[in-house]
Amino acid sequence: MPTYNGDEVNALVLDVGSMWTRAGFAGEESPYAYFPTSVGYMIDSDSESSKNNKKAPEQNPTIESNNENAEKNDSMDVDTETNKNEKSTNDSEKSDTRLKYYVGNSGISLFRPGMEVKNVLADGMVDDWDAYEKILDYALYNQLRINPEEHPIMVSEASWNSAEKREKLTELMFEKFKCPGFYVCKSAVLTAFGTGKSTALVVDSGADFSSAVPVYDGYVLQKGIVRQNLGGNVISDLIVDYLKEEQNYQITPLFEIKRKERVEVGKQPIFDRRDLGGITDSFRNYMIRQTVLEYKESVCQVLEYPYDENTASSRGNKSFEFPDGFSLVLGSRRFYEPEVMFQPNLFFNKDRTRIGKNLENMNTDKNDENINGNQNMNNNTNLERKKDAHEYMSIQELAYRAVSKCDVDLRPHLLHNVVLTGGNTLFPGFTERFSNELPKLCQSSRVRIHTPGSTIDRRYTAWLGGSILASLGTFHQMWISSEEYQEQGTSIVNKRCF
Amino acid sequence: MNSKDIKDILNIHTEQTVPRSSKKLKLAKKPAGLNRELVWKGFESSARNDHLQFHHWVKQDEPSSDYYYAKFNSTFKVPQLDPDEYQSHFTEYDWTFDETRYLFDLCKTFDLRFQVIHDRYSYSPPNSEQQQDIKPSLNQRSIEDLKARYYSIIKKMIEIPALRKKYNILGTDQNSGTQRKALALLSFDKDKETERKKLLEELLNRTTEEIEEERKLLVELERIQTQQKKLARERESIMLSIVPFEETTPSMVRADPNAPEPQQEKRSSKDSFSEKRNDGTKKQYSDSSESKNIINLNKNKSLVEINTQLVNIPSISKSTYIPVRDLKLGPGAFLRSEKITPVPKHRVEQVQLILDHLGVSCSISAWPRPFMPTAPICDRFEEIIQNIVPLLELKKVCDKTEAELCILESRKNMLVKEVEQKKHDL
Repeated sequence: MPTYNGDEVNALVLDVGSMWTRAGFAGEESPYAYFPTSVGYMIDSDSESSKNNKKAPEQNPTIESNNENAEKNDSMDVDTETNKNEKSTNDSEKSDTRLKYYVGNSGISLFRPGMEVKNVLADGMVDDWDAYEKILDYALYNQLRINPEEHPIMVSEASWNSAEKREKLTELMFEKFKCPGFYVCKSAVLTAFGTGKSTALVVDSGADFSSAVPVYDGYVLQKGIVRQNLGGNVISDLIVDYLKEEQNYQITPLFEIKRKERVEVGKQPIFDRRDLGGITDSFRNYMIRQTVLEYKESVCQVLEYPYDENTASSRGNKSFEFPDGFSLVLGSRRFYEPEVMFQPNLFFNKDRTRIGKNLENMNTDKNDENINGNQNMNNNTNLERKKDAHEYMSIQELAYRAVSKCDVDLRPHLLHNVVLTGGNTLFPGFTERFSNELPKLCQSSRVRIHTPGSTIDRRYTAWLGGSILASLGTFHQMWISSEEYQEQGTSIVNKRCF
Repeated sequence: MNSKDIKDILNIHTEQTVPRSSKKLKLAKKPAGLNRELVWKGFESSARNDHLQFHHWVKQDEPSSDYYYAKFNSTFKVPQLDPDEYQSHFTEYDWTFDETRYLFDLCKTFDLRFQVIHDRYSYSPPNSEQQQDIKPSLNQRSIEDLKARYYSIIKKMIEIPALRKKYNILGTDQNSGTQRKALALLSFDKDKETERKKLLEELLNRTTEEIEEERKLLVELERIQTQQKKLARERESIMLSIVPFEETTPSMVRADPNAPEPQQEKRSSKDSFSEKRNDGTKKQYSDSSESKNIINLNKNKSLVEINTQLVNIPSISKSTYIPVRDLKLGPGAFLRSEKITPVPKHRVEQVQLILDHLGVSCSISAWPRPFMPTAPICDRFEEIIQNIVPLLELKKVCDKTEAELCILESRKNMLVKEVEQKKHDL
């Protein structure tokens, strides 16, 4: 075993992202569990009645399995398992907060009257500690099915996490889960490790936000972090707006549809709604978002060069059918919305409000303007001016600005090790476009973009880095032990994990 | 691995302890010394300060020693500062003891990774009233400030004997050689570093146009260099073909065409400059046009046009003035002695004789040329040749005329005699 410097101590790795949570055993190459970070909850007025309610929708298995597919769950085994586990989840839940939580693919995607959906994280940091605890509960007891008292646990966190939240997390891990060892590591560092680097610029574009984080020798350079809340959800909103304004169509999520008819392309759908009571807005929005996610995964792409109507339309059409039977054949439009990542000024004003309705007319002028803008971006004063205006930045500018904040000796290294990660970078062509755009901003140094080979791997690069780190023999001395926690309290996390 | 092994590992002891005879035979065949039995065993590591116990799989018969990876736990020793010593040795303007200690703590935490130390550096003085005047600079300590501070203190710890003994930074190796080496390594020149970073930043912030221009210039340089090599090669082959081998000294042939020429020549050729101007030959034309080009190049700071004429610039720019005798210049470099007016073949011997008579030593190959063809010598030599050749011509004419005169005189004598004879006869 010493040959590859690994030592199996049965550590667990938990990576809670803004959209997905990954959990698994250190030393393995992919996470064992992969489920949404959002949780469903409802007020637990009467435990008996809620149990009955829960069982009712399960009688309709078709809907459930469809929902599972929409979420791209890995295999049917996991699906059935989660169904089984769900019961135990509910059993193990305490009603101390008088809220009942539903976690995991089947927990959240299943319609329950009155169930609200919420995201556990806000801006990458834990927002709702009760829900976060439920997520950990679910991952450890229902997915991995282990006793946390026997396993050291490594948890990832956002690079900008606050000291208080880390201490609270430490307390949770030792007091509630009683794990023998605990470590919290910045997800950017883990991503760099997952790509086999200790120094890198980690450009992460997720659902909620995009960030560029310089990592030096395994440490995050805090002063170099640049982020903004422009991510996958913004693209989703743009798509919903497009459907509403130009196609006069509003998405109906799958769970509401009882029966649909075949209609021609572009014609309004004909379907019957299920007679359901107690659909909450948050749940419907969550399901609509899942449908848009499917739309994005099926048809959306990024052009290698700045958006141009003609090039985009020459790339061929793709069709997409929504759950209610409404279908569209999409040509150049497939390339339009993801362009927001590279040219946000096509879509947003300087104060981050949407540009007016007549998008198509402004298209060409705006495009030209932006090309000019790109050329001027070497000019530092130009960048400074933009920063003051709180304008959305393109992702390449985000990366460039993070590099510029670092010491000049470091910049060439960072630019040579740019790691692109996050679910929002999975559009076909995204990496190529980014590799074309970033060198334009820094002409004088060589730029190399590294991405995990397959798109599936890119969903859990950070988890993989954690898996590697936690299985290293030399990592043994880094764990915070429960003994140390007893002696020094929660503050130890800020002395040990940087 | 067979089922028994698995049962062993999982600690499942079945009552069926008597295996079948065939199985027993199989087990007996296992090579000696190979023990695959692993056990789930707790362990502690000396790299930790506490008694955290984790479990891992180890071979059953392995002696329980310290954790294998504990030896990799190397820590960097950063000396602990003492307030009294600080007062006597390490005080520095705008640094306090507390802040210095804070810096040293960070150095220890991050193992001297100054990039990270600088990133996390956020010192706030405990008593802001005292250090009111220093405060503004605190937040803006650059990475160079931190490095300079750290290394200057470590340097003092080696330099001052009392401190050297106490901190023992050099370890057991105390001889003066290592000490000097250590001091050299520790000397951190803050201004130089700052300047270097400034320049590096400028390098990184070049605009597209600047990079493009630089690229073009580099291509141009490469072209000029290859052209030069080609010219040198050509010259060598020409020299070999016209000058007999033994007379071609390699230094002459391989001489760098761009090597700066003696000042003397310039002066001497300057004298003949006005003469040259009137000549209006092709050479002069190309010379002036190219020198204009040079001026253009110097004036024009921006993009350089790619221009084939540029190639010839080095050879011309160095020898700005072309001597008057070079009327038949071909392209490229040449030997000065080549350009001496050639002596007509039938005169060579005579010219040689006169030169010998005058005591002028020279080599005779195709035509006479000085051994040391510097510009003044060449000019003088040219002058002599220019005198000798017409002299020889004149001598020839003179000889011819004298001969004719002789003939005519003898004819006259004959005629006179005839006339006198006829007179006598009459």
